[in-house]
Amino acid sequence: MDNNLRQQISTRQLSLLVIYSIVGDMLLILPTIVSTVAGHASWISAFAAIPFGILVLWLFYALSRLYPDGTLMEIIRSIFGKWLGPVICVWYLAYFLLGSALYMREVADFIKTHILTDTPMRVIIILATITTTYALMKGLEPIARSAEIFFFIFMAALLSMLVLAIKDFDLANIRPFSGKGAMGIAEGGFFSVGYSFGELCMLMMIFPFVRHRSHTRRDLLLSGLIGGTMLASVVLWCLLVLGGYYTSTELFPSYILAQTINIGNFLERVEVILAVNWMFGIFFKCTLSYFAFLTGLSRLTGMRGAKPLILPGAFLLFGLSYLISPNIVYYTFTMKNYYLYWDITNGILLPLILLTVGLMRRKKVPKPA
Amino acid sequence: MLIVLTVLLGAAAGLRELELLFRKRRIGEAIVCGALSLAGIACASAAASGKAFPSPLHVLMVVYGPFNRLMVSLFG
Repeated sequence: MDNNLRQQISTRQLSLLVIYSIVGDMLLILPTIVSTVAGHASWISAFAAIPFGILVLWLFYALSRLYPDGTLMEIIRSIFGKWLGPVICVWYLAYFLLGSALYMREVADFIKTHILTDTPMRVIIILATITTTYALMKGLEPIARSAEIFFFIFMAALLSMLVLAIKDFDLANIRPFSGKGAMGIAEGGFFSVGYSFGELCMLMMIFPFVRHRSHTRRDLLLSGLIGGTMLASVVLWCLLVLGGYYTSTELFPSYILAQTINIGNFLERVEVILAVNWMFGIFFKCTLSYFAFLTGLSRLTGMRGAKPLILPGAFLLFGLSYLISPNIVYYTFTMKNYYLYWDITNGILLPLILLTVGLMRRKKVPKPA
Repeated sequence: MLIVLTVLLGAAAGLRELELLFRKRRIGEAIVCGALSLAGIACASAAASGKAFPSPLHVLMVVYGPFNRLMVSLFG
């Protein structure tokens, strides 16, 4: 990662990374959380969140274009100054670090619960840490290229799951349409925007490495639309096939949805293939979040590159992924009751403040005579 | 045994990077790298021990607890 300044990714690669990051871990946990608060109407929450999510993406892009050569760390320091700036930078670094540990823990919990039930959790986390560390050592460009390589398989598997599950639809499962009422729908929308799109604030650490074109903004927003639609479709499918009760009580309803696929007693038990494919999304999200942490730390401390931090940081990632939650109940409770506020603070409120102050300062600069 | 192995591996990884940084006389970077190594070794050792430690997410409960209670009291 020392030569990160020379590494650049294309707009297309950025868009694919955005889709992976939106779908990522949310594919596993969003249906449960949204249907807990919105009931049968959680699909309305998920679809209604898409335009707001696209606005959030626009916010990140607009902020990064105000300071085209700076990552989020430089933006914060130039707007908030040399005293408050570093404090907010450290706040964001903690967010990126805990976020990457949390994504890794989610995938470890999922694999431990459904696939490798007898394998110790720490072994799964070690394997995930090695993969992430290896990717980071290679740099951002190889990560983006592998995102391109795997994208077709990723989308094909996801779409095939949706198509093959259509035969089990039961429209009665989404009635009454109002679910738990307008407040429930609004709350579900907050979860959808905060988790799926708010967590993408790590993109502001990546924008300086993107080769910007005239269509970059359009592609970015389009990828938000595609990712959000895929995610909302999974929520709708879970409701239509499993019903509101099972969607809200199962830990990973998407996996249960994949288990229902059975075509003429011939094509069945494909859920593990699909689930392993979903790991791509979580891998890219976790890697990008950890990239944001390491790059941010190196920028904040004035290092020439983040490469010396990768190996020592791998131990921190492994340790935190294990320690971040004693069990899955604690994790789900924290995600539902507290983590959303952190996502909204870092993904929406602070960027909004940064953009407002940045625009005001730009207007105050006197124009040359 | 697992803890000792973790500490040794963590120290080896940290020392490898530190040696390179000291050779290039990047003292400031070496301090950051050393601090990260120490934090990594501490966390990884705690994870390797398998004992229960307070979750870092507990900080979120402290920070956002009052706001969450306000939201619950307002909207149920």
